[in-house]
Amino acid sequence: MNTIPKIYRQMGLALLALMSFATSARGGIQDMNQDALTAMKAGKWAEAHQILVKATNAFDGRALQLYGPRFGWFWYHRGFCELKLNMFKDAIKSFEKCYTKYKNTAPKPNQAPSKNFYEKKALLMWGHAAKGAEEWAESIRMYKKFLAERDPARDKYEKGVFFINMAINHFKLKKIKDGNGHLETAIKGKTTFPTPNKGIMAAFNAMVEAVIEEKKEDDLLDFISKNRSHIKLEPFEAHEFSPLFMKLAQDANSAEMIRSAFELYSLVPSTLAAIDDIKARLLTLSTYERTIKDGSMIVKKSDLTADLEELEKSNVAGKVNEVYAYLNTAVLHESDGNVRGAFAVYEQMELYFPNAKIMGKEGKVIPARENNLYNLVRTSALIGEVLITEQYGSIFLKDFPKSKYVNEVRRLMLTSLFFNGEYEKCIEVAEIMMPKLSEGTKQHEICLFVLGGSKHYLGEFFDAQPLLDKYMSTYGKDEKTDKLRLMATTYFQAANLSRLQEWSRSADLLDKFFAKYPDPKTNVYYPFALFDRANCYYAESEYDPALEKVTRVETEFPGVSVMEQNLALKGNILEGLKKPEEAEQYYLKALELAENKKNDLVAGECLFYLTALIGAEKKGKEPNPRASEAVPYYTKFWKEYGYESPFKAKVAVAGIPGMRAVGKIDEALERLQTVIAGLAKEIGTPGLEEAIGSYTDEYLKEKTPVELKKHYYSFPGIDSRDKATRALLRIAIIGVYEDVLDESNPEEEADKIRDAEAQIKILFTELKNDFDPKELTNFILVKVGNFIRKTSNPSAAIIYYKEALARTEDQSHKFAAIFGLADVFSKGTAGQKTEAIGLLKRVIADSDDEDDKEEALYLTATIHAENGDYDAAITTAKEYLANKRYRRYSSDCRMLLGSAHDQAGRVDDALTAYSQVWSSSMGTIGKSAPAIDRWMDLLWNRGRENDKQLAYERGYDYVKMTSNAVKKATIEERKLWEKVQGRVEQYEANSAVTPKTENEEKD
Amino acid sequence: MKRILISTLALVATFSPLFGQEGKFPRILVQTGEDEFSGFMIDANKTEFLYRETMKTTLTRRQRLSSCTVYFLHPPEFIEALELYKARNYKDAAEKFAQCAKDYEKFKEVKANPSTLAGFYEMECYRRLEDLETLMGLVEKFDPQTLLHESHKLQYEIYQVFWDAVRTKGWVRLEAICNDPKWRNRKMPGSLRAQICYVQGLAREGIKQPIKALNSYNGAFVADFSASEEITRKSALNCLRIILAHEDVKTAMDLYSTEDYSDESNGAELIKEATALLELWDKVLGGGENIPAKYKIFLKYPPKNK
Repeated sequence: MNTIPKIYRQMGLALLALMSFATSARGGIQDMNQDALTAMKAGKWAEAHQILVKATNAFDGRALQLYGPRFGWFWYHRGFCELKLNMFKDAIKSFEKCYTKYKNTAPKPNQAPSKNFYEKKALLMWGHAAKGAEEWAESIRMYKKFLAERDPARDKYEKGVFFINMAINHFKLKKIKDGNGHLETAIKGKTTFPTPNKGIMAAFNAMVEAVIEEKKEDDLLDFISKNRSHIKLEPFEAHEFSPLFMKLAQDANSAEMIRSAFELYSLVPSTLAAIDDIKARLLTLSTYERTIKDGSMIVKKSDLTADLEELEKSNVAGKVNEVYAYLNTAVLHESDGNVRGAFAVYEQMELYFPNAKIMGKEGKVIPARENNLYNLVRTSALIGEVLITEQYGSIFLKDFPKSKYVNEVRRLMLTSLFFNGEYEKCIEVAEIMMPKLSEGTKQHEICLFVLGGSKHYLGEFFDAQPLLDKYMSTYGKDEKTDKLRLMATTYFQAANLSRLQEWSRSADLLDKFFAKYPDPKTNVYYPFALFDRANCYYAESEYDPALEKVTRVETEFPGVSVMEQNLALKGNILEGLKKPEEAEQYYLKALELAENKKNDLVAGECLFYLTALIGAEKKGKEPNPRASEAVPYYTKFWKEYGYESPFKAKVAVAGIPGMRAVGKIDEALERLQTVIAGLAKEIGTPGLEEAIGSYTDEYLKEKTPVELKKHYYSFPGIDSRDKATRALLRIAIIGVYEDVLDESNPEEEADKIRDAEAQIKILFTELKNDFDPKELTNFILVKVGNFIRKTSNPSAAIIYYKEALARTEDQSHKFAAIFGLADVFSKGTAGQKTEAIGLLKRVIADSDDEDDKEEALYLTATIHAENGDYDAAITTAKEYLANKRYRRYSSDCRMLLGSAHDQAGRVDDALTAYSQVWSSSMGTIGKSAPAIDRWMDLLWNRGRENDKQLAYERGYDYVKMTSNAVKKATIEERKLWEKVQGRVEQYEANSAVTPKTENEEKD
Repeated sequence: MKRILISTLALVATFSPLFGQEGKFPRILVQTGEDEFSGFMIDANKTEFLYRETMKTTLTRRQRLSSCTVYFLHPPEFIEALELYKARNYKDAAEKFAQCAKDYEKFKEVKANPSTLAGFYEMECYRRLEDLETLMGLVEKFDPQTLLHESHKLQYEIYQVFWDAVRTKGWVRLEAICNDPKWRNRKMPGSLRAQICYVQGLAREGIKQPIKALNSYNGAFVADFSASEEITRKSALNCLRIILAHEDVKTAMDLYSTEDYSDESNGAELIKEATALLELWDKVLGGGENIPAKYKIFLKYPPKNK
């Protein structure tokens, strides 16, 4: 800015000074004087300048002689016009001429006597011109010279302008302290001489520029501190300078003068405050249009009205200055590490400036809310305000569904929700997101983590496991994976397997987890993993290491949230270690803690353990003298937890001996009946089958199977329409008759067996006839299917298995159904056999039941053998035998291996396999007899030296060694044994053999 | 409208005892719709006022308030007090405002009168000094009806609702009020929002929600980008105090030299936050004051894995 005083009041002086300019014709100096004045009064600076240039060009050579010093007027006003026209260099020359050539000295010979009233004022103007020409030092010199030489009475000057310009000159020369001195003089003098606010702000601008360039922030802060009362304008005044303050703050910010930046922001009035201030002032200015000088304030109604209009428009449009200050505040806080400060800004932006608009990168004004709201979600997540993340995240997704931040917001909401335990919500959101995300991205990683973790926490263990496995296989080895999430998933994967009762896999992963994250101080899952590991040991009956783990949890992590479960588990383990008294103490401790924590689930569980432990029917082989002591726990359970506890069926069963001991067996049975009826109403509730089983056992202690059948056909509380439960009861009756079959001696109890077989047949027929497969549970479908497939018409079982497999929503007993179906197909056509192998592969690959898998593998080998695919049979059988956990069919598999080699003509391999069968299972006549029979036959016919003698001798030894075992064998087994015996006798009669008896005699 | 000329004696008779002529007389600009003139207000009540065109004249005129608009030029005493106030010298400013309020008290029934305005700023001084007993004493006697600024009226309401709750330590009630959508969603100048955030921080500390209090204090020092210096400074110090007292922070400090320390622990995160506040103290929050030495302890625990 170049601040120059107004010219008009000088005009009178000018006229006076030139009155004596002589003129003879138009175009003479007098006319030029008048014309220039007229043009200047009209603000026609270029026109005036033209006249004055003409005058000075024409007369300057002779002016001193003709007019004396007063001709300085022309140079002064020429300079003035040049100032107005920003011709500063020219102006300097004009003022210099006025001052140097037309001095008020005594007239020389031939000079006209006159006075140059502008001689000293030219110095002031010279200073202005030099400032305009950016000759700062020269400007200062001229101003100082003016002050030194001026006539105080005549050479008046505008002090405000003068000090502002002096300040600017000094600031430009980086003499900041000197500049500040002049600026302070200008500001403080506001009440005594006019200093325009614009001038103050121009100087302020120059100061900040100098401060930034010289990196002398303290000078700026010092100035603000000293002059705050003067530069802190009223909101209505400050509004005009808000853009300047914002620019200066931005400059200071860029120069990392943060404190200065914020001091400058603090000068920016809030838009609301400015509007309010203007409105209040306008209330006192109904008609007064003139400028009011009120202290240092200049109040003008028209300005206020215009400013109000502008501010209200900006406010409605959201284009308000303070938005930039807010956003820079957020950036400052976050970049310095105070994310909470940034969060606070973004929340205020969302609450109070939702319509904010800012200048975009391409100079276009754009709405800021999307970014601000996203940053609010982001920062709230960073500071752990999960509910706020959820709240604003939902608003974001609703208001900006197509934003580029949508996935990121969902991700942020997810992690927040997850760590806040909002697992249902997590699943809801993650399942929408998952299909849209690319594997290998951070969002996919988080989504997978949250989905797997949430399902784990919600007990959806089957669904959780593949997700957790996937996470570990995809991100487990990626160094960029978030460490906390990786640690959590490593734990969830292992823990989830324990919930699926895959104890050995879980144990293996838990051990790896401990090895990878050995420090309980940084591993928040450590005590939980110890507890899970103890569970694995317990499930595998490894009580000592289980005890060590639970004791560690108990002593090292006294406040852990699973402590009551841990104490209960310790009770279980102590029971396993045959320390019932100690177990009881731990159950009591667990019960007390669970009750204090209002953990009804565990409290109910503990009451079950106590009831079962103390109220067991027998202690060793003797009746339990304490059985009745279980009754108070039994009673407490029903009184306080029974109706809600999942242990109600177990307690109903476990309490029976105690209740019997106190003469309340009827009450106990009645309760068990009620439990069964209650469970039956809760579709899908586990334990119903077991409860019926227990009830059946207890009922049969007093009653006969026939009475049971009658009782079950009209079971109290079971509605005739409840076909699923009624079918379960029928199955229970079948189970009773199956037990009768197993326990009866075929020779002595043939009638009983016949009767039981008849009952079973009738019951299954009724089941088939009375119940549509669609009305039966998977358990019953499989049970019926299994019964039918063992009859003469196994293919009738197919509809039951297929019905069970068709239920996608109920996966229970799936593999049993697959296995049953495969078994049926294995006895069918070649095509069905192939289909059976396919089904069995599914069981082997996917079943969580090791028994099913073992059986499926064996059955596959037998089907291959039956199909004549000996190589496949051998491979499968070897696969079975290689699995150290599989024992059930090992001798069958070896037999099958021998048979397959035999069929394939590989005699030596067959001999090896058969010998392994009969030598390892000698006492099991059903297996050893056919093996040695075929082994003897093959060896006898192989034709090598000693083969016949060896075949005979081993057969002889076998018959001798199993002669006692065969007495306990079944008729079928005995027949097999007798076949071997016959073969031995046959070989003995052969001349190629030396009978064993002779050898023994010789010996 | 013609101005009514009456003699001073007549006026005294007419207005006495309602009007006296003691004290100071503010300069005014009066706009009647037909006329505009300046003068000095000599006395006033709810419906009319007396004025003189100059202080030298004995001629006093009467003007009905309902038929004109009055602009009060700030009296020099008010300007002087306001400069002290803007220079953050609240103690001296309060005294001057109090005097100004007293000097011009007889005009307090006229809108925008200097007495009421000075009274308002006097309360502001005590609010900023957090001398709540004095503040509430003034609030009780104050009549905000003649204030023209809505923000001043709102500030008065904030004294009554929020600051009085701070004075009485009614933390539960205060927290409820702060969360009331009426207040929480209301758009207001940043300096007022800063106060509400600050007192909510106090309330949350009072009801033992220190982390929530941190949120509120942060809200206070960003609400007007640290312009409310005293609130900013107190909020920042309160944040540092909360963090220093936090159990997780103590644990993190205890574990710092051991292998058990983790940068990701809650305590370490809070130390990082405190360290950031120390840095911001010098830049923005401290207003040029030195940070109390006890808080420099946070600097001894920088993150180990930067």
